Amino acid sequence: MTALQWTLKEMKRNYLGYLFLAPFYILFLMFTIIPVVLSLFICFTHFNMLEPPKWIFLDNFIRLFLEDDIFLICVKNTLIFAIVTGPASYLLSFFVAWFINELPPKIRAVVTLVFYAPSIAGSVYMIWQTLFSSDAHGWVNGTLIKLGLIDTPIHFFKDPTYMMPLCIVVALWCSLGTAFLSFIAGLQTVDRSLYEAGAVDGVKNRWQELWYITLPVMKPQLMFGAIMAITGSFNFGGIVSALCGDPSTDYACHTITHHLGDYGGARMEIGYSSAIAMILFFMMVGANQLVQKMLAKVGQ
Amino acid sequence: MKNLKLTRPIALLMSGLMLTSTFSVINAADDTDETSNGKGASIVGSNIEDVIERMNALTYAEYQALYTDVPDATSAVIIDGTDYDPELTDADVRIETYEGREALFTPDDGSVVYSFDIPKDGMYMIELDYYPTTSKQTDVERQLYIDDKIPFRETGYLTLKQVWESDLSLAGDSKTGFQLDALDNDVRPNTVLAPVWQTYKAQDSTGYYTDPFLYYFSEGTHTLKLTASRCDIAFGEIRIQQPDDVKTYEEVLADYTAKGYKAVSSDATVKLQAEFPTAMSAKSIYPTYDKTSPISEPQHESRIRLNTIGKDTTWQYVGDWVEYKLTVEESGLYHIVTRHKQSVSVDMFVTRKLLINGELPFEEAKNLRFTYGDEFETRPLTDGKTEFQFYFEAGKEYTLRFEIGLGELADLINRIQISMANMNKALIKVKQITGDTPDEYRDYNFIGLIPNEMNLFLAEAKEIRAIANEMEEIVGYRGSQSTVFDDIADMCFEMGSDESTIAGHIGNLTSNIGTLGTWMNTVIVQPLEVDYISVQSVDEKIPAANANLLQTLIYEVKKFIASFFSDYSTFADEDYGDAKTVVVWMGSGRDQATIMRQMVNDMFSSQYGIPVDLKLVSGGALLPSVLAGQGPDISLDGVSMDWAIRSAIMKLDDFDTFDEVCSRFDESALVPLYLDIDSDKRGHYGIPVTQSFSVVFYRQDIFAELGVDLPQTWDEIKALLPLFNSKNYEFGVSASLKFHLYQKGGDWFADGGRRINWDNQLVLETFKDVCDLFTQYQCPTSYDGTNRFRTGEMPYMMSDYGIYTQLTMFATDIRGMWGMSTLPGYEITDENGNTYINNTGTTSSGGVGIMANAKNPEGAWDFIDWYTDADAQIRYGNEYATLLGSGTIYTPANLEAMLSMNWTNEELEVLMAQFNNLRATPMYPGDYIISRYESFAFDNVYNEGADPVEELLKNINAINREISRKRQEFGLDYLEIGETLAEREAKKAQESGEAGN
Repeated sequence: MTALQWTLKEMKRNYLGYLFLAPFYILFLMFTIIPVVLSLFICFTHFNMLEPPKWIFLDNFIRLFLEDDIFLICVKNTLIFAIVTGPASYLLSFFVAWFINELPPKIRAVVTLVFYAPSIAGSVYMIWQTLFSSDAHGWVNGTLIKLGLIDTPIHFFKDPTYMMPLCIVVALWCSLGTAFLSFIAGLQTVDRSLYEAGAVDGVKNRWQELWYITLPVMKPQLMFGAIMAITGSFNFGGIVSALCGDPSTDYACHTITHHLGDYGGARMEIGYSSAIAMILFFMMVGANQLVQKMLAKVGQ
Repeated sequence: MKNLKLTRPIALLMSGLMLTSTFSVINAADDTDETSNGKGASIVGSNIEDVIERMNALTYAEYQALYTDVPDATSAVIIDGTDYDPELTDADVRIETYEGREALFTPDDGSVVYSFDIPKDGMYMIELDYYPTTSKQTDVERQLYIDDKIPFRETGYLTLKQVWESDLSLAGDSKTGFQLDALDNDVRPNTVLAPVWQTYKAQDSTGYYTDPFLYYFSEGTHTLKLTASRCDIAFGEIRIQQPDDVKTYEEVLADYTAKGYKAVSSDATVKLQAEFPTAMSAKSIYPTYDKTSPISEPQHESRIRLNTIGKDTTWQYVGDWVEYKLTVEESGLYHIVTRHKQSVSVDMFVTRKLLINGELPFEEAKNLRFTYGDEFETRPLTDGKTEFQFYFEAGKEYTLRFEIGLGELADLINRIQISMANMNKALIKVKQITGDTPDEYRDYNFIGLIPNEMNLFLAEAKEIRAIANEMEEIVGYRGSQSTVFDDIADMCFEMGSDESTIAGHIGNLTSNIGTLGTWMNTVIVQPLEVDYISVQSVDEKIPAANANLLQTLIYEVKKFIASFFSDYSTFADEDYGDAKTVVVWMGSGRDQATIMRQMVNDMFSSQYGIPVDLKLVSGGALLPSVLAGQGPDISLDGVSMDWAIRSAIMKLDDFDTFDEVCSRFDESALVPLYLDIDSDKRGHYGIPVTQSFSVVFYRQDIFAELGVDLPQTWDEIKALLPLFNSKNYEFGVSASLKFHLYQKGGDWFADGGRRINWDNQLVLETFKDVCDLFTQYQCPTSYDGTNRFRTGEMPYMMSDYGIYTQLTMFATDIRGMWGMSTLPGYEITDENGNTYINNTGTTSSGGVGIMANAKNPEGAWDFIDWYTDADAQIRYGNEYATLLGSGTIYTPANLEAMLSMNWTNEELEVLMAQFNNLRATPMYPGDYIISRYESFAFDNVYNEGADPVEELLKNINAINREISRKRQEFGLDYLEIGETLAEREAKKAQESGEAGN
């Protein structure tokens, strides 16, 4: 019996299980797996959606790395975003979750809501637009003019000097999302008796408790949070577009996601944008590997 | 006119101000023509002195105060409308006969003048008979002058209503009285003009004064001038007569008792279904349907039954009326009971005025109250205290007209309005001292600088408190607005009594006045939905207003069951046999789709015999469905270069009637839909539907106050800016390089779209000019234009002409103080040495095209042909405005449709002048890239103070690279970077020359 025959036989035997899985897998296959595989193919073609694709092999990638100056800016911006906001928001989520977890349950529920609110309420980051509006009557500009620090309004979201830092701040503000919730859940699943056991075994302070007991126990949540943080920080496009416009002045906040959208949407060059997507994909996979390796060291 | 004005001290002050500031302007701008200033500077269309006169014109309240001692007239002077003064009349009038009556037809411009003798000093009312001749869909507007002068401001806007009726000709003998569609739903009848002779008493069109105007005439000869500002009309008799003597209800009631009138028997009840008025005053009043109450008459659980009138906001503007005919069978006393609902104007009541046969039956009939509530209400007509009885005679036909008035609120609203205007004026003065962002801790010396304004704040504080109290008394409780009143009063009081608080309160007071203004806008609209009017015996029980529990239960259950069988989503369409359907998608909204559906049924399918499958589809779905071959024949949501060049939409030039269709538009509307490339794809890919362009809006009062002319060129603007900046006024101007470049006669693209035309002296200079406006002259780059215009901070702004309606509807506090003008331009000297001002504007248009894989292209073309024609566009525009409220405006590209809209002649002149001076850019491959680099360059200049020229030059290559790349992609001829077509040709010629050698 070959492996294939064996597989088929086993599948037949467990057909009920497959039947139950089917609805999800069919959808997953159609809307996730096939598009990803397709884009692997499309990135080697010239394709404008309305006319059939043309095979051009590596031309897209050659152009991407050798001709496209803006792509390099994008990679730089994406990495800055990812490196600053990824770990920062991850640590922030964790520590805020940890602190909140120490609170009495009722207060905890309220505080959790307060911190989680920015990420539930969709485009709530637009409030930053109001705060930093370029209008002389905008909150920040108005205040600065009133204090006599400036004469003419600053275009916060049009001036490269301010754009990047502001976007990072907004990103961090919005980042207490799903990861944060999963951390709170994770912290609550830690068995109390482990701490007692730890105390008996010589855990001296809260840091040791955290490092040797809490963190190893909630590794699945940490992993989940990390993946969310990575995808989040690499995919950080919507907020920037909403605040700084798309494209942002001098491409100062242009990330790979923007570049991808620029070519895929405005210029209808799907082949090229698939190539960009591939790069982003591999960057994320790489970052994931790295994080997994780092997480494996937790508690050691 | 001049003499009288000069005698007024205020005018003296004005002219002094005018002179001095004109002087400073002349100094600032050497090239300003001195003589033209001397002669009495003109602000396009209207003379600056006219403006000042209008600004200074008395309000009616002030006018009345002047003549309190003059007794009411006791006799009447009757003038025949045809008996005009031919020497003074400048309008193109003619005598016509309407319904057997001779009348004087007056067109929509010019004035008609009547001369007459007044026998005795007194206050006279002016009443006139008119016949609405116009086919325009708006109210007629006239200005009334006495002895060539506007006696008071309000008489400059006399509004005469047209007469409309529901067109029930399609209804046949339908059981509901309305036309039924294939699914047995009532179809809303068209509202059509049904002119009949009307009598009009000169009165306030805003409703702030509830009684007709009284004009003072001294003994002797006078002239009466009626100047047209909107629509043509014919005048019958004009009566200058004693004021109406309207009895109070008490007197009328005493009269009833004296005459021994008795209550009628209970079966004398006459029920008038409100959805069948015999006439109404506006197109926007039409039968509506109520689905909320099971006992609305008639009602059906699943079908649409038109059963009310005035639902939502369809019958809400002051002066609008609906009319019913009533004949009773028994003489005696009746109650007029209405079943109505007023659920829009929260916590307030709305007012109706009842006119029986054109006259008020008694004084209180102008204050009929309908209170706020979630549910229907039945009540005899009442003013809130008494339920009125009416005497009707058997067999006689009565006309009941319910007209919207402001009733008891009128006076208060008028006072609030005046108060707001005063405070705004004072605030402008204050802001001129403090600037946009006042410093609380600085001593501005307000007492020394603006003592009058300080006193005014104190007076207004008192006035606002008084208004708040009276309001509470009338309404019966403290409504949501009382806090605003209190806040304003407190702030004004503090500002008036302690100057150190002024700077701190400015912001708050401005926003509070804004809130008050918004609240006022909600109060002056008076929506009311009426189901029926039951004229019944005073002894008869009032019918139930709402269904009882059982009725409601049965209705809801039936509705629920019916919901399984009725198809609510498809709009029913009639059967057109084998004709191929045209599939049309639109993404703009359900309301628009409903309008469209109805239009298609009435005007297209029935005429062309082509069924239309109209679907409401969100915009994002178009691309995927076209890819899947499931797309529509037509998408109403625009045409793009990307689709055109990739052959996803069809080139339209080859259709037979293409040229005919194109002749409906200005050339500039077609250009943005034209793909300009040197291949067989060159051509038009869309037919324009909407077109937008900018004009200038300016505050006449502020320009008059500063005594300066409206600037016509950018040089003049730059000369004015220091003056305006010093007074903290702003200019809202365009930062678009293309716009400025077109005005200087430059081109946006070079070599047929092969490269951007930025690398020449003209463009670089222009860009520097543009940047200067914002860096050196500090024009704001981002702002809320409408608001700042209204507050006066920004007395001059360039904006899309569509904002016009918004200003007329919502900025009522600055009514008559602003104007519209053509864009400023650059002075250009042409090759013959003639100088002229080039004030070209840029324009963009939205079009409709046919999908390349359309299954029925001919049908689709017929649809486009119909849709972009004037008839369809006019109707769409009207219904759009009706549906979304009069504040919205539809900006059709179709010339005829645009012209037929609600413009005064002066406005039309401005619009046409700008319309004939528009320039657009065709579609070129890669053109999307330009705007971003333009804004990069501008941002860098603004933020970093970078050199404009350098910034622009820096980006040329990036743009050209993208254009060339795209052209290469599409297999078009393209240029290498840094190369021009001419250079390439020269090089080629040289090479071939060399080869030849």
